[in-house]
Amino acid sequence: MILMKERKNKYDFIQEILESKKLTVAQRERVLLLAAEEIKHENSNDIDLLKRLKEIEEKISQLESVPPKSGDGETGGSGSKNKNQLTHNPKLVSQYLKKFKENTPLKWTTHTWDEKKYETIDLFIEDLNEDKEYNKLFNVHRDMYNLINYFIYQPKDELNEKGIPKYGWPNLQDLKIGWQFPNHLLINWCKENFDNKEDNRKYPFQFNLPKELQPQKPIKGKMITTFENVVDIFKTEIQFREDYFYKELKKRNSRLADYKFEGIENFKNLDFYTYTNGFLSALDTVLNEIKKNETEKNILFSYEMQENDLIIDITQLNSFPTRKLNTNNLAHFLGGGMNAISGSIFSLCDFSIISKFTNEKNNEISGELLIVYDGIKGNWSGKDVSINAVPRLQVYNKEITGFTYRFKFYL
Amino acid sequence: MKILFVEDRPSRQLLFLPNKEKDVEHIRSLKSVYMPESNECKEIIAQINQNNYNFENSLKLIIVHKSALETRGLEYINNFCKNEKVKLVCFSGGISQLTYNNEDYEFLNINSSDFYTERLVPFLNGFIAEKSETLLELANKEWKLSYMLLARQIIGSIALENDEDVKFNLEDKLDKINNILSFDFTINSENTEKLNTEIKRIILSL
Repeated sequence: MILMKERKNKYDFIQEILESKKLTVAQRERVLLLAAEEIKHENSNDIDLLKRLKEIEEKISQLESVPPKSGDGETGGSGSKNKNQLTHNPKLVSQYLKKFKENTPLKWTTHTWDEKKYETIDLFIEDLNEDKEYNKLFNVHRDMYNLINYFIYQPKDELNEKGIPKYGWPNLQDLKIGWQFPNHLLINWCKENFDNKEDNRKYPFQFNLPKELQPQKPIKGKMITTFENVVDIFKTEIQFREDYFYKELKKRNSRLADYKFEGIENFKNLDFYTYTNGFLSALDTVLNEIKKNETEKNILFSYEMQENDLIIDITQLNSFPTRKLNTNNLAHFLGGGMNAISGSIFSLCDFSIISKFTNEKNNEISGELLIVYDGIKGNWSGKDVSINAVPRLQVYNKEITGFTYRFKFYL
Repeated sequence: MKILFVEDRPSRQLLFLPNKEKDVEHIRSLKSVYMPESNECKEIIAQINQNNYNFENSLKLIIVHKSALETRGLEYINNFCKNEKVKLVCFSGGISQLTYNNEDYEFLNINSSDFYTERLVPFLNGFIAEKSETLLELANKEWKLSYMLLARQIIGSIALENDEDVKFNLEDKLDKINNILSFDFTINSENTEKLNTEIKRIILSL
């Protein structure tokens, strides 16, 4: 009983400190870490206390995610003064992208029209234009918004005298066509070749791109001559399909032949929706970071699928950080590489690193440093996202075999 | 049961199969094929997506409409097929390129319109009678010849290609063809004569 009372007091004390408004975010992180360590030493099986600590964590997280009052330009929502402030919301992105396989008009932008779904192209386009949900992507993932806007709707882009857009898709500038853009080219073709036809009907995917809109070089290894080719590329931009991710891993393994890529075979047929270019950019930065430690050549790739999420881990085995982790200033641990990864995966997945860190007092900490997590803000520069949040450290109790980059996707 | 056939949009069968209702009735009459309908089909898809469907032990082949599956459901089926060496055919209107793999288990990804053809009924009959050699029979009767011709083209293209991405894709494809055809020689630029002999042999037998 005495022990229980003592624990209750300790818990109350921790709670009081954590809820104090005088503490900075970094100081709260420090208290939380010390509290976790204290409880771990006391009795690692004390589920009740750990549960209560989690409750405090959640409370703090809620406190920190309350958006500032409107008018200060930091809310980032629709009507915000700061249109380049984004909010990390990977769930929204994956829910939106899933609509491309559900029974929605979006599905028919990427699936062959194997049944006569629409009598005329205008009916299809009307259906598409009714769905305004993509607007929500504007303050969540700008590249994705721009891609969807280009492929399905009507981007604001200048055309030259021949009617060719100045800019192309966000990641693939040589692709300059979508369902409605430029100049309703595809729609006009469908009016002549698809609308109300019983015989000799041609479907939108059969549209041959005008020469001036055909990219000169292959895109993702293929020449693009028909609208079907364009659709195929779009699908690989929003989804890892079939062996796409596995092949990208293999490709990188062939470039880094002196490193051993363990476990990539398991990624065959891993199929999930995301902005693939963003995640592949992050993957390249991870590999560049890994190359900085030339002595540890084994990289373990693994994933775990749970009910609503997919966790992908990339671990450089037996590699541990040499940079100290200042628990009073966790952001100090992040270098250019980590920031680049964070920007690439912003609103696609949560990002953390797991390792054995050494703190400013030379104590070892087995922890997970949460870098990109729910609700944090980022700034869009027109090209990249820079994150605007303080990392959080939490104790990690499982075995640590090296330096792990963890990406958590929402399914 | 040997074959589980999950199609949540059966109207497509009537649309594409050459003998329409007759073909559908024939498939339904096959005792070794279990093709659940309407609510039962939806229930099975839901169970697969929730990872709690119990596949029968006698299962040798699963045919499924890919778009009906969520990431988790697809993973569940893939793992089952990999562990139990059950063959898998995924069809969908969203699949633009046929992919075939026979490394861990036989797996075919195929567009719905290429799947529902005159080849489907003979394939099912042959599979049940254990006379089917590969899932590729669903895609192309002369699949061996077409892979050999493709390999010959790829070998020529690799030599001329400068784009690293294209080169990697071509080499990857050639590796796969080597796995699929499993000749006693490796198909590459040094063995084009051997490949030509094989091609000639098949063409003369047509």
